[in-house]
Amino acid sequence: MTTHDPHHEPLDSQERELARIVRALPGGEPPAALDAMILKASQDAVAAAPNRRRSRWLAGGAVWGIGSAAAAVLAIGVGWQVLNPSPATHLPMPARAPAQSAAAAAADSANDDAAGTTVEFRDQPRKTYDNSPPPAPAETAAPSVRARTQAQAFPGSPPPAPAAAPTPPAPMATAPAVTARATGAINAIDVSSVESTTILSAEQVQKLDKQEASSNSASAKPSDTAVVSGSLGEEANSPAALGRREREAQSAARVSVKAESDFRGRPVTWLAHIRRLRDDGDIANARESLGEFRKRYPEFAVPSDLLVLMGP
Amino acid sequence: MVSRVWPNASKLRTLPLMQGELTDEDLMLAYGAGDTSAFEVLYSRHRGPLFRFMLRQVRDHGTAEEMYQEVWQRVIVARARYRPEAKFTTWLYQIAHNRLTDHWRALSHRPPAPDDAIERAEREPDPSTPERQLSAFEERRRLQLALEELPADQREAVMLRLEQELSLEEIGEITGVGRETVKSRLRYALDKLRQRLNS
Repeated sequence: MTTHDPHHEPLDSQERELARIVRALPGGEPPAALDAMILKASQDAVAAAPNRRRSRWLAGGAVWGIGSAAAAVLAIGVGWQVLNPSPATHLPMPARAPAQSAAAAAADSANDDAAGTTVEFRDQPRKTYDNSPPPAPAETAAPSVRARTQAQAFPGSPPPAPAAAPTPPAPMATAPAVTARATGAINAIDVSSVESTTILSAEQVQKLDKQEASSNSASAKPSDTAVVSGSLGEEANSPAALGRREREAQSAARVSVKAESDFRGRPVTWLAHIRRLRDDGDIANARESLGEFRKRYPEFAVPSDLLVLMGP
Repeated sequence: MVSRVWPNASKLRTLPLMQGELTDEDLMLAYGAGDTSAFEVLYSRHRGPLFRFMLRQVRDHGTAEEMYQEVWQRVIVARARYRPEAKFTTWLYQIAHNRLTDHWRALSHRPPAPDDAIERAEREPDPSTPERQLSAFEERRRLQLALEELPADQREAVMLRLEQELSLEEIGEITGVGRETVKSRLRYALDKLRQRLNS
């Protein structure tokens, strides 16, 4: 039967004698019809096999495909984690290329933790605003900025009153221009931030216009009312006034950029915003924002450089 | 008859080189890969012994043919799963043993003695009579009767041993018992057969 038989135990003489008789017993072989039936079955099975083999192969291919996709997703995830380290393991990164957008910096900052508020992280937004004028007085911009900030950063807090109700509508001719300038000055905000910042800037312009109109009451013209109500007067259209408004708008926009940004789940970004307020001299807003921060993240240790804001 | 039933196998069998070199395991693997002629050669090698084995166990041609066909059908179905970890013979007779076990289980009792067992015994010539001449025919008759009187497990073991010349380990592997159990069954069975022949 077979050519190899490592455990072969040859029959002894008595067994051989019995085996000789057993093999001579009648009953011999299966009928030919049975042979033919079995052989046909063997051929039919092989003939039907290719389809099944292909099906198995396809099934295996599908499994391989799913496995490959899973592996690819895993690899991408690992790669993403490697390229974008988690805050706990983030070390100070090298300075960004100037061409890199501030928006990318803002996005990356979401991955920084308190310890990771690196020089680069704090410096990058400053570089963005280095050429911007000094910020507007805190009393001027703070109320609406705070309201917007809280609305954006603290979704759990009660929503502020509708902006349109207490304030007159923004001048349609000015708002787009201011918006464009503000948006040009602050590249670090995303599209949604730009939209909300636009509204704030217009409001700021209105308030500034009101203050300007009241301070210049001696030379006030009837059209000042129109300025306040939304139409720009002659003086408001003067180059000096426009430049002032632009500066104020940029300042307000700068203040509101991060305030309008969504700090949810990004305490580090929030802290950076507080630092920026502090560095810009807007101590009141910085204190208030820090207070909100502590309410929001009571478990989050306040960095030592911001502890001074918690004092009286 | 053989060449008429499986002509490809007859071609292969005419090649002594192939017949001598290809083991049962090689042939089964070849069949698993789609070579039907390999199966024909394999079948030609085992058809007689396996059929006789089945017939000796169930002692009924119809039942033996049915079970014989089922055994080969299982071989065909399992061709792709076959791995030459054991001798093909061991694997084949393991399938046959399992089929027989199912058969006995379905009958819920051991195979009964043939209906004409008493008549056969009566027809058996008296060894004490002087005219008794043990011909080869008589010898086969006695052995056949002795085999039929054996318990199924002993008959199975002795048939695997005498007709297939399987080792005790292989028989144990096929029947699912240990070597010592096989040895015991064989000893009892062979003693009875010899007793019958010498009586």
